[in-house]
Amino acid sequence: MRDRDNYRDRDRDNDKDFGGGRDEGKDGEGRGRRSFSRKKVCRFCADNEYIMDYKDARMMQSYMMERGKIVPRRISGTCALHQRKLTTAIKRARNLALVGYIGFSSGGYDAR
Amino acid sequence: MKKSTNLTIGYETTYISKPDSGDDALRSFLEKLKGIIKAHGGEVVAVEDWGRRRLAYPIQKETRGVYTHVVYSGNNSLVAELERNLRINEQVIRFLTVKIADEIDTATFKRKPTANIAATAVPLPAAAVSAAAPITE
Repeated sequence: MRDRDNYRDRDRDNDKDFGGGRDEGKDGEGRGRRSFSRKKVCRFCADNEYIMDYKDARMMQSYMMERGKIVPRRISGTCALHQRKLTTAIKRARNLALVGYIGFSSGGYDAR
Repeated sequence: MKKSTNLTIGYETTYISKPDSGDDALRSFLEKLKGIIKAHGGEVVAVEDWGRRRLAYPIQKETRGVYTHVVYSGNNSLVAELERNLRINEQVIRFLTVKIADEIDTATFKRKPTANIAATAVPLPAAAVSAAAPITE
């Protein structure tokens, strides 16, 4: 999948991250360049105050890809427990049309 | 004793009504639901009106909906009765009930107001201003 590494940055700073990293793999330093890793921290563990909530559409959208897919743990760094809760929350919110099944917001149909 | 007589289970129900349903109709339906909750020995903890929001995808050809959120205590037969009524009402296009606590102390129960809901609500001329504000009785 192409949008694996960049899915998040793409929303924030659009052009900056494009092509970076991925292309680096082809020339010379290849593996070495890619294998550096920053420790990912589960954002929900970092914030003990936060209670997972299916009503918080903003939060869930930051864990969804543009097409509405739930971002996997290996990318978002969410811990297993919170990923499970997040998944339930997103599925509930989908049912209530707070977030979409295809595409995370109201894009895609003409709402005027 | 059957488990179902326990009246302290906490539930929250959110339902979406059609945007063209009048305020009076919405209000009286909400009152009806409250009446059902009380009749079954439950207690209404909080009611939130999220206002008219744009739906993430069309439901029954509607692109907008009026969200109402009710937190209450009760038991499973109350939930069954509520949902039966939600199904009957043709203005209601979607609903979701979630159990929030095995035991709920209605007097002290507090939670974050869903402010983030209001932030994502579509600003509409009329109703959206009062989004997420608790309905005063």
